[in-house]
Amino acid sequence: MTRYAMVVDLDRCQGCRGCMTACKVENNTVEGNFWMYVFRFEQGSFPDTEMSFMPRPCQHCHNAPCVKVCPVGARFHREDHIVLTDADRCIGCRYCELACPYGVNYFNWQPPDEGQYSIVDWKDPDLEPVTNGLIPPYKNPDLDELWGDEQRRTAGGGHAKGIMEKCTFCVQRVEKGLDPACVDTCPTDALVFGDVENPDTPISHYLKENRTWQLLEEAGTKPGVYYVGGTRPSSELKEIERPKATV
Amino acid sequence: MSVDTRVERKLPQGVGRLRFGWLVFFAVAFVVFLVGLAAYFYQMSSGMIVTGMRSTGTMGGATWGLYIVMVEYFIGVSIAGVVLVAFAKVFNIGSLLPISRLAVLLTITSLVIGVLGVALDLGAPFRGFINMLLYARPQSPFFGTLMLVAVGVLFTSLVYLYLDGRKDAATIARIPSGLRWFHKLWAAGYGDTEPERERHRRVMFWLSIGLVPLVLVALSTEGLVFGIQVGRPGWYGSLQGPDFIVLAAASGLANLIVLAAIIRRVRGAEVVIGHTVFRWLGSLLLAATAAALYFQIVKTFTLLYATPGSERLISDALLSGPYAWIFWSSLTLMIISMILLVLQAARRAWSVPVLVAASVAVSTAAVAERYLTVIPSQTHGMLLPYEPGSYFPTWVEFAVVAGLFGLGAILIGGFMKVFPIIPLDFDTREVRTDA
Amino acid sequence: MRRIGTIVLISGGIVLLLFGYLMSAPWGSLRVADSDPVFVGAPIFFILGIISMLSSAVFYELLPD
Repeated sequence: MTRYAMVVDLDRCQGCRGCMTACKVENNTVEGNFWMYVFRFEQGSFPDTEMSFMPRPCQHCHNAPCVKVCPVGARFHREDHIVLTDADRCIGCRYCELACPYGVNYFNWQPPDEGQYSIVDWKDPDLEPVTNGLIPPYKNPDLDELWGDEQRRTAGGGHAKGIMEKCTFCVQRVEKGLDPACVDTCPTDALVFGDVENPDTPISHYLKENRTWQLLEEAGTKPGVYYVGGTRPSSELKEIERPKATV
Repeated sequence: MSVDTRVERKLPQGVGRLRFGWLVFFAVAFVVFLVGLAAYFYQMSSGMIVTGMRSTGTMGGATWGLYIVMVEYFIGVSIAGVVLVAFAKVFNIGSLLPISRLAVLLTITSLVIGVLGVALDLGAPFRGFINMLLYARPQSPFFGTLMLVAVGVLFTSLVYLYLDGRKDAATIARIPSGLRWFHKLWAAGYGDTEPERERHRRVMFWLSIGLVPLVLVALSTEGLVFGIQVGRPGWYGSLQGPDFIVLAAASGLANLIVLAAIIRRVRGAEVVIGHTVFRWLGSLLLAATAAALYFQIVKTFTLLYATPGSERLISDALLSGPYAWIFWSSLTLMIISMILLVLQAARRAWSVPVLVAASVAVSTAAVAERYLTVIPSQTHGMLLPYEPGSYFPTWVEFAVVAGLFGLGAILIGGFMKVFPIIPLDFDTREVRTDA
Repeated sequence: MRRIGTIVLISGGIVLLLFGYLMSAPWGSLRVADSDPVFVGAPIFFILGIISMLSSAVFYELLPD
């Protein structure tokens, strides 16, 4: 049996938000949707302030509240403990988002084509000869594949308007034996991903050697993401430097 | 079927006759409905970005907005009508029967627009319809909303309306009119013989007995939608179900009173829907409002003493934060209507205008209460330190909700023109069945 | 005849309802196979069960003795 999990070492995280960018590039998520999000916190009052960072992917809970409330089984829990959304099944009721205490679900409020980041207007007729009408310029073809034993369309974002999407642990990469994009990109190796049932994986060593904590353990969700060190989020912390997150 | 010998040849209660006043009313309702429909198509083509709803957390929004608030309100309103009629039938409360058809019609109408409201809120409504049939999971409280409420309660109410209307249908089917085929179809050969009446009484009795638990179970799941959520402060708790039902009863009775007053006025039925009807409705509204106010006050005190950890986020937002004005005005409205009702009960004189005023107050407070249940826990109930969000509906949402009200008016107003809204047993002014 | 038909509609409705419910709800398990109904379309049986139960009232009242 495989059980995928992630370790976030907050003592290593420097808050560069590279993981957020890598996630967006890999998963084609629309503007304002942050499957991976890095909190930048400030504590205390000037001049005695302290900054801390906390990456927040989907927690891939073992006892996932979002799976329980989904009325049509679009949100499901894989054997290897990855929690996924079936883009072809979701009806867009957004109940999963309400059930989730971590706020990791993002709805496609507008047609994905219109919600994509763009420095230039890709529909500009002058650009037409260059872009050949490709909007957005690139989309990973893996995202439209069917993955896993279930053969459901679960990878990536920007599939359709009016459906829910969230972090997939980059299922399209994990299926190929790769790490999720955020883990791959992290310059300080603050993110570790792997199978915790297998004692020889780096993540198993990491969990054995470090004291870990989990987000909102009291909610009973049994998250699949473990945190090491750092500052636990509390009401003492003020969030600063929010990226443009509204659409 | 015996040949009718009466001189009167018109259908009763204005059925089949389109007067100017009704045409104006219907045209206005229809235009409002069309505006709502247009707004909905706009929302469908542009995506739900045209609403005020946004994702919670980093986007700082509420992912369920005015639609779900109104769904909770409408489905709540539906409880009163059919349950009231069931009680009247089981306990033989004859004084309530003149408004029995109106009450069941109110249930059906509010259920139709309530369930439609759920569909309007879906990001992928067509897929929603198909996938609910193919994959619906009973573990999700939505199963209760869509299977028990949308199918069970709606179907029971339709059966109720149908069976209880057969006698009247048979009566007016004897009058030649363009609607005769419809009335004949409805009557389905009802001859008003003693065995038939006995059989009808028996069916109504058992249907009423079965209906009350079905409605209670089905509508409690509306409260459970929020009550089972551990991830949002302000929601988790076993009282969400009962709280929903109690406020539902109050808002439903309030709507019934307003409707009964309107029908009484336009049909000139001051005698038929008389003092006894309003005394009953007023007393019941008093009881339901007292219970709802009791729940509200208990909740307020619990909030004041709040509260462990994250619950504080919600109590602050409700008592002194951005939702305070809604919270306190809803409480004030409830207290005002309570005073009005108690005064009338004490003087044993139920004035219809005062009762209507109290009903409007209760109804408005109920919408506010639904709003306070649904919204603050999303914008202020994040357990991770996201910044508090905000939500305000856009014109699209207001237009769509207005369209739902328009549809309700069309359904009730349209029904009145094809079938007598007051059972003919009580309104004997125009049709003498024993002629 | 009418009585029998009514009983059949009610009891058949209950059977359909329970069948539809159990087939669409594999309780308690987190296995992937159990996140879906046992067979696609099981909830339709639940709906048919409710409708059958409630139609019995119409059946009982409308049918001649």
